[in-house]
Amino acid sequence: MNKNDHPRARKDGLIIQPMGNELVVYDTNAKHAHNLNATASQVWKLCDGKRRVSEIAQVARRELHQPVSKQVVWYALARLEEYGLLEGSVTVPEAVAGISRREFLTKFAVAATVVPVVKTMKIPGPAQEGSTLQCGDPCSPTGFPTCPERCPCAFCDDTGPFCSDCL
Amino acid sequence: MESKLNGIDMAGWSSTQTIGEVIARSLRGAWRASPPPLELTEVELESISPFLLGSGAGPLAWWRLRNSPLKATPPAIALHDEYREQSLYAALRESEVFRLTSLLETAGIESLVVKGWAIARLYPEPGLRPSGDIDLIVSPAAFERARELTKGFASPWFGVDLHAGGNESTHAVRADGATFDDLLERSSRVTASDRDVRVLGPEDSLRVLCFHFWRHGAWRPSWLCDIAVALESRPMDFNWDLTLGKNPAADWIACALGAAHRILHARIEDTPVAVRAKNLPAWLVPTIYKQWATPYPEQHAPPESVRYVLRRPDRLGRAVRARWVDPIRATIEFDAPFNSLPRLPFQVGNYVRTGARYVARRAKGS
Repeated sequence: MNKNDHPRARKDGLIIQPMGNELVVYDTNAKHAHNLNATASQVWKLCDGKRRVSEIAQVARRELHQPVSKQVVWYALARLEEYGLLEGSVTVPEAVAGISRREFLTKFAVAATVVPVVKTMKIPGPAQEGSTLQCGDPCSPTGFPTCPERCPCAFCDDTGPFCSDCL
Repeated sequence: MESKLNGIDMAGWSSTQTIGEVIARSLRGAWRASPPPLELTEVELESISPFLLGSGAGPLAWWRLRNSPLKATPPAIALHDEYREQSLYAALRESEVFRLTSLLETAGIESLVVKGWAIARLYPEPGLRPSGDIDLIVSPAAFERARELTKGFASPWFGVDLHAGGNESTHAVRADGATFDDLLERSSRVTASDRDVRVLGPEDSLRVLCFHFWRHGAWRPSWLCDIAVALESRPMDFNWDLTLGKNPAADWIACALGAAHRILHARIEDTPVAVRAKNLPAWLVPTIYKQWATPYPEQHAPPESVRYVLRRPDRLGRAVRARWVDPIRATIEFDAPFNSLPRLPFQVGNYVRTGARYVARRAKGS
């Protein structure tokens, strides 16, 4: 089976979260996060290593109720490969290779809502309310949000601020 | 209406409702797969979006906006972006919950996941709820060992808040007589991505959510949405006796559920609290609305210690103000009922008591 004709989505090392008809994907190897719009998500999900590009387009049309052509699928595959979300590589037809979104929209008269989009998201830092310390650990005097709530950051003696409840 | 509220420009605000009331309107039913249609003007949305984003309720508001005429407005786009980010955090948190509970299980320690991920799974999508610490309950006997293990857990995104379950009066558990084994017996096993995790049972979970809401002064709208989703997704055999029955603070729970009904229109028909929900004290709902106008976590952080402030006189005024608690927290701190009596005496009493405790501690040399 020719890999190029039967693309396969990569799953290893990925944390995937559906959100409506989109996906967010965190690549634990590259430490990158990506947002796939509805079209890109659908194409990616259909890349099972068994379907041809034409079959992917056919199913995606049915699922999305949108005019998803083979060119749209190839464009999606190019984006997915660019972000490391496919196993192996695909050889995208010359007509689609390397063109910008604007060029793609114009050249193939594709509706903006159909164009596959894969966007890199900001790399997540600590979640907003996360406390990363335990009671008794050193902390910063203004405290928040480093200590657990039951022992906020406080100076109880002269050795420095610690997560403690000596308020 | 003042031109700036908590640093947020309110010019152009013409609603007769307060910020808190409009926030409530934007979140009603937001925990449901098909929430009711949203009636909000663009000016109102623009004004409340900083509050929604600051408090972590942005994704829930987006859930209601996504099928409305406002979905393509700049504030809605910002809320949509927040929803994407929280969806990512939700995925990461699930991965970390599995890793953490597996770590403890390997060491022979049973754990129960509470709040956070356990509640997020009740929503139509887990990214609707802001992600924070991973809260776990373990048995008192295993607590120290679990604590040592979690020190080495080192998640890049989430802290771990461990609680010793059973016979502990901290808000996080409020087992009120139940042992860890009781909580374990009532717990639910959740299977996700071929992993099994135990979460607090629905009756215990609802109780914890209500106490948590009051304990922190009800400042976060998403916490009331948590109560609403836990209430509406309770199983058919939900045992109200376990949530309310022997609990000395049963009325606090009833008032929390009542607030979810009054403010967010959570459904409470066929519950023992339906009558109480219609008889909340007059000061309670306005106080919650007022709390929702302070959306940032740092506005509710514990105050700096007195010893630290005594070395920094320029921070003294702030420290004095920071120790004045809201009427809700003052009520909880005094274990007082939610009734129609004024709250000022509880607030003053709390202030005096805090100071007296500090003086007593200094006198003991601690």
